[in-house]
Amino acid sequence: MLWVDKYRPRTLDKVMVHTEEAQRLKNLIAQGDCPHLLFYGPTGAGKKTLIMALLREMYGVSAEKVKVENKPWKVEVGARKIELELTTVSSNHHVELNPSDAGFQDRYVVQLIIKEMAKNRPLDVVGNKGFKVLVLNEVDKLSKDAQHSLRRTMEKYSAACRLVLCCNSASKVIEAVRSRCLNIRINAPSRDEILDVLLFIAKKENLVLPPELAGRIVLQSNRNLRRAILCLEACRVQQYPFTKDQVVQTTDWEQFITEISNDILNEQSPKRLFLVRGKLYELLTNCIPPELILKRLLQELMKKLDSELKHEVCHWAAFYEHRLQLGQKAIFHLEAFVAKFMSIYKKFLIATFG
Amino acid sequence: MEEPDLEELEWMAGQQFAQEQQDEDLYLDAYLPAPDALASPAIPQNPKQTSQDKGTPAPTILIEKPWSPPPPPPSREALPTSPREQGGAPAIAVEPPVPCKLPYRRAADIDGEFLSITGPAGERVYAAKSEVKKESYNSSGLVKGLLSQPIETMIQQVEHAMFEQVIAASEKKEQEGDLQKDAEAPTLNESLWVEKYAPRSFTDLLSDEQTNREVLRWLKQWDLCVFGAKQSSTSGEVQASLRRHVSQKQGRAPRGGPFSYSRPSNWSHSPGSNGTNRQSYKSSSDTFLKSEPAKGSPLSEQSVLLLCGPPGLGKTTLAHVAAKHCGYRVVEINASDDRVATTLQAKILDAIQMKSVTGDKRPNCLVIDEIDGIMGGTEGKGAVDALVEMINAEKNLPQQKENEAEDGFIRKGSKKKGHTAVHRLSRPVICICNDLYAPALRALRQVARVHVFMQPSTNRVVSRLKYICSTEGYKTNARALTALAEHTECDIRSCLNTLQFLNRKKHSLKTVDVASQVIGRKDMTSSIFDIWGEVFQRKRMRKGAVIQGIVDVPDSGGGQDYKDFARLHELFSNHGDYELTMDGIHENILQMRYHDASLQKTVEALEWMGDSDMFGQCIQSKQHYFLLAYQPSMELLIRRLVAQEERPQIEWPRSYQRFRLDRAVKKEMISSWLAAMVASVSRSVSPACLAQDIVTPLLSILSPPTLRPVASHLLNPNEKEEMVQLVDTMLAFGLLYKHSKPSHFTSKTVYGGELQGVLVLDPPIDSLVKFKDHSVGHRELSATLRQMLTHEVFLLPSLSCLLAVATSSEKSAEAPTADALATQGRDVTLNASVGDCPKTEVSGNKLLVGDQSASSTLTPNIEVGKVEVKKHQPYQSTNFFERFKKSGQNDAKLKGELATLQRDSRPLLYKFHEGFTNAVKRPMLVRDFL
Repeated sequence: MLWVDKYRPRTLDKVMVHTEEAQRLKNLIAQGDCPHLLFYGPTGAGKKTLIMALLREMYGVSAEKVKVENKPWKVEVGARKIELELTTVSSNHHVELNPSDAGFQDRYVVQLIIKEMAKNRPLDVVGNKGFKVLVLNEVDKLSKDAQHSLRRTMEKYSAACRLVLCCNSASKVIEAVRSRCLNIRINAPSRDEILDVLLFIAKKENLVLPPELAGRIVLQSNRNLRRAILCLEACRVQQYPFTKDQVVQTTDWEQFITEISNDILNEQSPKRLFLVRGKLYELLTNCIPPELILKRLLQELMKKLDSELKHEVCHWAAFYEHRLQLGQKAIFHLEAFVAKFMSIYKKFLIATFG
Repeated sequence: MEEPDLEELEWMAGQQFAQEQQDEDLYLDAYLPAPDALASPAIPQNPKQTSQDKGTPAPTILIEKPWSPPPPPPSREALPTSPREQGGAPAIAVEPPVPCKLPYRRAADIDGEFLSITGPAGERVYAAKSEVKKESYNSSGLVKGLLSQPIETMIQQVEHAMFEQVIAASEKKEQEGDLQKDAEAPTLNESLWVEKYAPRSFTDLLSDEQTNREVLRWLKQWDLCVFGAKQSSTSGEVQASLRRHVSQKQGRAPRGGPFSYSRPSNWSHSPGSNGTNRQSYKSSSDTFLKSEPAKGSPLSEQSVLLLCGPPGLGKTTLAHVAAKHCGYRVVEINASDDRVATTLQAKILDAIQMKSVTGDKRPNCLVIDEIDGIMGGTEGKGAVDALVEMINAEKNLPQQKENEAEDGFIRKGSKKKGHTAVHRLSRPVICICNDLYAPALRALRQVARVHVFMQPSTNRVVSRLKYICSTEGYKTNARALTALAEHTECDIRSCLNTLQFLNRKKHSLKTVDVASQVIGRKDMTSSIFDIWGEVFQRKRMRKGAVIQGIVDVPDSGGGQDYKDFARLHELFSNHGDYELTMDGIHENILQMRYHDASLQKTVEALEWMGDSDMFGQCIQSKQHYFLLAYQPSMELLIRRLVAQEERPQIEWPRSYQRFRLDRAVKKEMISSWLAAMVASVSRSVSPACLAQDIVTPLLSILSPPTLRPVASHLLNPNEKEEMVQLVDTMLAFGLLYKHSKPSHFTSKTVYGGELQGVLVLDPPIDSLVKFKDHSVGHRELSATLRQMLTHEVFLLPSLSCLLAVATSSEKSAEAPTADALATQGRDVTLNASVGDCPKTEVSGNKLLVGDQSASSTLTPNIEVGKVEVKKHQPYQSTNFFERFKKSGQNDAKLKGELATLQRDSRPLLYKFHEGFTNAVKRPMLVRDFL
């Protein structure tokens, strides 16, 4: 078992990074009930950890007894019959699922599952809550249709179930849904917090972790706790005892983007742009989100850029990122950014060096 | 003997009638009766009959003649005419050796038939009857046989046809009269001009002459196969028609002229049925005919003709006319028929094997119209394939045709192969399409002979239009007609329809109408490659090429630019698939050579593409379809930036499609990986973060460099701990090492041998970090280690138990128990492995080869079969665990360790609770127990 899972805090009391939020959550459910919740924040911040701890707090240890089910659902929409298969993780008390897996039919999934849960409402026995919890992941990827259908269902079946929504960006969740939930922002842990966690783990594992190395891992991780811990473990596996100047591995796609940025800086021509396009396609193929590619590429380019240009390049990066969100074909916008950068950079080079 | 006479007679007649006033009465009177006499053969031959009066001088001449020496056999005489020309003296007229023209005194002087003539004075003379030659350039009504049918028959036919028409019309009127009394009869009777003025013969065709000839020649090549050896005779016909075609280019040939289009019904025999015609033309040499294949040579390699071109140029008409011209009966299959593979095949077979029973003895010619409209997808493809198969069958058997040509069709392979009867084509097949590059036609294109139709010249179209307009009494001028023809791109069908429409509305055609929107423009869809071509290629500006007809639209300020814009806008919006268009532009834009020093144009073009994409997204997600109207302008804008005059090399946009496919595969892989994970792990990760954050470190964690590739019993406790950790992680993430492909020889390899196939991770998560041209920095485990891990993953539960037992035995010095336990364990696993051997193949193999004694114990167990195994198992396993637990209870220290172990292997224990006895069932090696 990886350290990420091994040292994941199981209860709200044990959390190390978002202690304040954890405490509030604990107070919230101390009354025995809770409103709908919406957790949002960047990846690797601890949203899911908190949700899991919350569930345990609510239902006790039995909430941790989960099983994975691959269940076929049959939805009847008028005369049409839709069959879809969804993977759910569920315990006796809750169901977790990723409704965006259902693609454009996500709306039916959301309604159906909530109704199902409402039908099988648990009996109000002592020690049992009168409701189940439905955890919906990646709500921001739900279609607008599904989100709109969610808002009515949320109210209608609120007696039977509580929704815990989880997403990266609350801005993509419609206002109506947001206002029906208690919004909890889980921000990325600060560097110090990450460092603390790393040291804690090292101590538990009886490792001697040089602070320099720990600092580099923290820096590398981009305030992503999951990555920091994985990185530490990878370092441990690759070389132990640790040394100060040990290589801290970056992820492959980041290395690849570094390569791309070098390509761009070396030559600015349509031919090179074509090469870059191929590499961008590769990145996208490997399921790296385009926003992340753009962000990372900008960071890499910034490292080698004259300060004169930085402002302008940032401006354009934001510009194309916005267009990227509005559009569908990420490659067009990524490529447009690269072309724009090439254009700016080439002009700059000509102006400076003639 | 007769010929000179004839000429002379004619000449004389002409001359004489011209100058009859100058000639003296005597001669005229004497001569005139002769035609009369000829025309009236009813006069009896009796010499003693009296006749009517005549001028006095005539007898003199007639009487004179016998006095002259017996008439020389009239060879040829231009002479006799000249004296008469010169003067009117009777003496001269009498004297020369014309007499053969003149009546004889005695019937005996005439050989052959004669007529008797009685003069006014009662004299009797005899005139020789001569036959008039049929072929004459003079169209004198007296000559018979010039027409193929006698005039009476023709008149009869015409009358009959008119009669029938009248009857039909009256019947129609009656019927309609029943329905509505005061319906306007003339409206209903008028047929479409397109039908009315459709070319009926080869010479009327408007299409390009070259194409016409090629089609005809191709059709002619079938003669040998279809008509037997009749090639030369028909070629005469073709030539004749061509000659006529040259001579009277514009005129519509009279129907049913001397060379009737209907082939003699006994076409299979009688090679020289119309030999007389042929002979007269034989001398002239035409290069076009020389190129025809020699007699007896097999059919040309392309046995199907594919005509393609834009609509309205007369492809179908050409096919019909040419087939008719060559004596075929046209069988047409068009888009309105059912055209799935089986029905089409049946229809083709019908067409090429059958003959019409209704008297029409001509062989069939199959015309498949609108073949590109054959359904896409498997059915339509099957239909075209069926056709192609026949064509190919044809090619394989060129030599058999000679013998069997008379049958009309040939079944191939019934003797040789027996089961598949492939039919080959023995009748010409003409396919017609608009889009040559339709996907359905791909196979056909390669085997067929392709003719691309060009637009006929505007002049030709206009002159025909003019002719039709004048016939219909519709007033127009050439300029307007030219404009119309240009506007419709020489689509004669739409021209005619427009004209008829205007005629009916009593409008006159004006140039302005054509240019404005009064006349509907053809909704042309072009292929996607044309669209891309338009985007990347700019036509060279030709000032002279501006057609005058269209320019004078009052409000077109921009002139050429405006027109260009309008045309392209229409073109782009007609195509409609903006997404594909943009993909193509994106794919190809970087290969274009436009001048762009600082990539400014590229940036702009890419921004327009992005805009188009955003529009598309908006349209899709919000159903704002009105935004579609703005899509063509993006294409136009990009065109403005990048269009060059040189011809671009355009490729189909594959990379985006490939990218989407690849990504779908990877996404699928990730989701299946998620499903394979232990629930406690999978619930805390999302697919996105798997790819972003987890894969890279996980791969390094899974390949520890410190692990030695030695047997597990040789590892020190620390290493063992590490190993257990690793295996545990793999299990938690649902990862296994598996053979890349299960091959047979792997099962036979000796354990420890290096050749076990390549072991790869399953699911192949390492593909997530593979980038082209990027060296992956991950260490990979050696093959032996992977092998070991595979093994360990299967073994894990036992291993962890064993680990505990081993440590406990060390500490509590309970060696015998451990030994016994080990042997028991072995038995258990052996039994178990017999039970589910196929399930764990790899370890099963190792088991077989691993221990000789093990295999010896194995054999009886196999015989006992499953029942025994099942009987043994519960007992053994409970025993196993009891021992295990007991040993744990014995030692307090051990108990703590076991607790930690149990905690570590929780997922497995969890499974055990669910009734899955993984812990015991796994096959094991003996050496693992040592």
